[in-house]
Amino acid sequence: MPSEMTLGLFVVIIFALLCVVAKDFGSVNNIMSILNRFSYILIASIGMNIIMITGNIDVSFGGVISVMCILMAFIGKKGAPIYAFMPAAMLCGAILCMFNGLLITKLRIPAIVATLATTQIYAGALPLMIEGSIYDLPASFTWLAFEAKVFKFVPLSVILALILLVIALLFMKYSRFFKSLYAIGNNVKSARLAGINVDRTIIITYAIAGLILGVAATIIATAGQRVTTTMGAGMEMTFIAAVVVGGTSVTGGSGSILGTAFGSLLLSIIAPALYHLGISDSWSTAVMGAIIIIAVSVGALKGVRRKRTDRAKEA
Amino acid sequence: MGGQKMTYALELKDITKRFPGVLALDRMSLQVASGEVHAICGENGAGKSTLMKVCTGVHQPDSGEILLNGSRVTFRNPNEAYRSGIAIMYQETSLFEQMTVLENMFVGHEPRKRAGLAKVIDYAAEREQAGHILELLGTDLDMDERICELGMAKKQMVEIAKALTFDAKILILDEPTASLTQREVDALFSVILKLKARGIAIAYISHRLEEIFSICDRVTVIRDGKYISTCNVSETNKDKLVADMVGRDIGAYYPKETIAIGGEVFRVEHLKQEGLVNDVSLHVNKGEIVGVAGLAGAGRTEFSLAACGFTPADSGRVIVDGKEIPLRSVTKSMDAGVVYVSEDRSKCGLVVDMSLNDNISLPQIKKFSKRMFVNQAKCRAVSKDAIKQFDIKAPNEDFIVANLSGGNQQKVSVAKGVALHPKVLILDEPTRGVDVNAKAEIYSIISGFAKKDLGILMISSEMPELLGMCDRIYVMRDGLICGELSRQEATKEKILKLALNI
Amino acid sequence: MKSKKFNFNFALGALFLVLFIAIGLKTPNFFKPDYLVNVMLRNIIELGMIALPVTLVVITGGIDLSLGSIATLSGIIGGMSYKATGSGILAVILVLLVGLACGWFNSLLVTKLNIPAMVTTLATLYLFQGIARGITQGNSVYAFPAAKWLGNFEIGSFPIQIIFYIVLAVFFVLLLSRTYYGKYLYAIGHNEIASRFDGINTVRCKMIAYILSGLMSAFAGMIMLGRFSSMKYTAGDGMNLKVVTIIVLGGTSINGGVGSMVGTIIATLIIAVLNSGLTVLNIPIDVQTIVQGSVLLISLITYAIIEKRNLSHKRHEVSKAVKTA
Repeated sequence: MPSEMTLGLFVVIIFALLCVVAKDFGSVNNIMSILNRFSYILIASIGMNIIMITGNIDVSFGGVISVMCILMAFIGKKGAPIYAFMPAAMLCGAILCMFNGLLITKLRIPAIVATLATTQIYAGALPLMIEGSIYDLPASFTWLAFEAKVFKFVPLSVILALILLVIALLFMKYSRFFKSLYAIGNNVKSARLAGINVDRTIIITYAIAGLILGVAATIIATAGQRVTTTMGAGMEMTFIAAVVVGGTSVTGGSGSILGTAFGSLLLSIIAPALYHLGISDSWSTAVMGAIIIIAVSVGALKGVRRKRTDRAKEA
Repeated sequence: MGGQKMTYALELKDITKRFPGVLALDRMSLQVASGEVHAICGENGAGKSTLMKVCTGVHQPDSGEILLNGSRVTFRNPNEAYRSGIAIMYQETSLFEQMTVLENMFVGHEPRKRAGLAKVIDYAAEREQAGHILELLGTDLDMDERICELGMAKKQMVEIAKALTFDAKILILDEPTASLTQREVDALFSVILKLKARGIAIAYISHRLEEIFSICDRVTVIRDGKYISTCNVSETNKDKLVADMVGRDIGAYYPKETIAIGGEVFRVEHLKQEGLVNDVSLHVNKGEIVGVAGLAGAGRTEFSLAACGFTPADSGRVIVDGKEIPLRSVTKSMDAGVVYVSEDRSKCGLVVDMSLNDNISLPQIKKFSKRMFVNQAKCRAVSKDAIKQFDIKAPNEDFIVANLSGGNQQKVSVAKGVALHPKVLILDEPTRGVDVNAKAEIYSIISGFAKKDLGILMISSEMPELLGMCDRIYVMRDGLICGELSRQEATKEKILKLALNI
Repeated sequence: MKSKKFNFNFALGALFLVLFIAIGLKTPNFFKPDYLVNVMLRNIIELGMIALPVTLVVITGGIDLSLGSIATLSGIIGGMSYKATGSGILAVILVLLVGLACGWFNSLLVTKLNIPAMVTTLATLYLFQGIARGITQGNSVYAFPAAKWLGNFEIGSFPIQIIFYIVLAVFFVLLLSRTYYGKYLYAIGHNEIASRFDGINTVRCKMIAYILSGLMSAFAGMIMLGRFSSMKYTAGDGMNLKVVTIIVLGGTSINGGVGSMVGTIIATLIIAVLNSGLTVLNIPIDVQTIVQGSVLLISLITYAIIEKRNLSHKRHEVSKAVKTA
């Protein structure tokens, strides 16, 4: 669809502009840093996207990431390798997000309120178990960030993200399950009539998102030798922004993985852009909020225009 | 209705369904044969909706049998019914707006093929099957168009196409022509004939008797949950059907009295709205009931909304009792005495979750308030009065509107407008979805108000209603007034010809 | 219908009394008027004030998640302006103006662009907090005289904020239950389209509700600034959850159309007792956060169950009371 390509073009232009205008933006260091951000933003946003396509949302992603990071640090501190703690994180994420899904489907609590509540619970529970942070993590833990490289310089995390992207694209197109997400986002009643088990599908969607989030959390956690209890705090906003900028409707029923990918790319450029433009990092939150509002407003304006032509058509 | 032993595509035998306190279906019977278009007639509350819900698995009968091609079946949920080949098309389509026609046709049961270890959606097979079906229906639908970009008629086609992907053998149409233009109705009828030729059994629920006599083979009348009669369409007529539906002598169906017509109370001059209202001028005198006829899509509702300020008109004048009122202002319009009663009572006309009192007093609650504080006594007085005047069947004015029957709800909707003491009352399809009894009551109320120097503009798609109640009838087409007929000269043919531009 | 509302509020009131007495029995210090006023009530005032207009917003079917950020941003701008100009009056005016502007901005997006309130206010939560963060560069802002007065002044031993709350509470109760504006809000929450057809200016009604929320959040922000003497951009974190908890606990439905200001007020007291009770019982802060999240979930579940039972009960009554005409 052309609108994703327009977005992609837009991102490329912004990137090019920044390389020209901002000092060192095009440097290898910066590109690496952007790619690293891109990898986990993309992965997590794919999870957020599938949830939002069903018409739901999850603002507890940040809290879940924090929990997963601490869990991984716990396991990894004794030297356990990545293929031990990453699956653990994925499982943990799946369980926590599945809990959200259960609250939303079985107890009929609106997604925003349910996940607002669970964010508090997860964020509140964490400091009870750990004091502050876990530090002095061994090299086996930070392997993914510092040493795992393909062709000697492409970080493995980026390859992981791209592989996941391709898998997601294929699944969205060819899987009956993922098609049903769009149906649910459009019209829950009709989806049920079509034989879709809506509750079960939503719960599984949240679980898958949690699973995917585990991979993103791994990338985040292994970035340094220290893991804090607030590692992921506030990150859900970035993911929601990436998804919304990518064209996914906030009410559900439409949206593409490709759009989310471009949106993630845009979002991963923001923090480095501000830094290289000499703007204080304190403004990053405001920029994020502004981007979401602009993206959502643009989508809404398109809808308003369509409604007007609809009414004329019905005559 | 002989004792022939025939296997019907769909047969209901002695179906009984009880809800707490209500016997909705009482030993109901129905037989629809393959290749037959079978009409089902009955008042609101007769049990049509429950009957359809039993057929489509929404409700399970307490006793009785459902037979598909002679074999007994039970449906535990709508999905089972759908997969057994019974499809129903309601007025609100159950399609997925943001998805394409192709996707909608196959959601939930997409054909799949093996690709290595996995099962993937087989788009080629989908397109092939869809192509066959669309060709069969003779429609020019584009498979890749999204539903939100289609009009109502095309959406219905998609619904039918979807049913055919399930190899539906029985299709139930519930008031299918409600929002269609005449051309679209013709297209729908030709599709119905094609489906008939393929042996599909069609149950046709409609209040529009002309359509029943035009497309249906047999008609079954039900009343109070009981089966009343079935006969060939060729062997009956409208009066007999209505008599069966009502069960007693109707009497003055259209209580029309001759009243002295006064001076002009409402005039619209050259009202225009881009794409919807092309140039409408009309007028209503005091004591007159003026009808606005036209087919769906002629722009009658759009005109009313623009005239009353609900939607922004581009140009034109609206004059009430000699004084011009500004366009685009609902408040000024209502203050001037122009009241519009919507055709869609549950969406636009009433707040069904609130009480009768709240609904009736809502438009004028500001007037009943002193310095923002509401005078509940005044509100209740108006509501109680309305209940009495309209004979609304509710225990008291605090009764929640949602719990009233369709006919009574419509009464509340009209009562609300009347309570505003308007100078001109615009009624949009005032008896749509209302059973015969309530219809008669509403008609007599309308006539009664004409007596009080009110001007009434009545938009209606039911010819008998227009011919029976109105002093004059405007006919609209494509956003224009294309004709005006007096009571004496108006006939169904003349109206239809004007509406069709013949 | 009315009787049911009374039962609800009586039940809530009973819950409050039970909690109050239970905690008091465990720690008799709890009952001391000094404690009651200074710990239990004082700490809930800001949240309680914000909950009043936000109840209106939720009844129309919307929500305001940005309330904490509005409080923070307005307080910060007030403090910064005082530091820059030395004018207390200007500071107060700016505080209220910022609250008004934020509320107005929210209402624009929700009413004119039809963006779901949930997403809008989630985004503005970040935007407003982001602006606060940007202009302070992460530093604290200090209280100005008017704020200090609001936060600390006492009449006798009664803090002025509580008096403000009582006045505001009475205002909002009357607004919702006795004025036509209140009726309009309920109608909009149930069926916005039909409300429009009745001549109600739904856009204006909703805008007023959001602007009132913004205004009240700003006012509460000023009290907070005064009480704590300083404020950082993170001051509003978690406020929205607490306010939503109060509103939902008070019987207002997230879906709109149903709700009561009295319920919100009683719920405010319940949360006040809960919070201070947990503190008095020496339960760690982190557990308190978990408790807060759980209270919201439990309220939502409870009301969902009650509503389901009501619906089936209603259907039974329908068929008894009225036969189809």
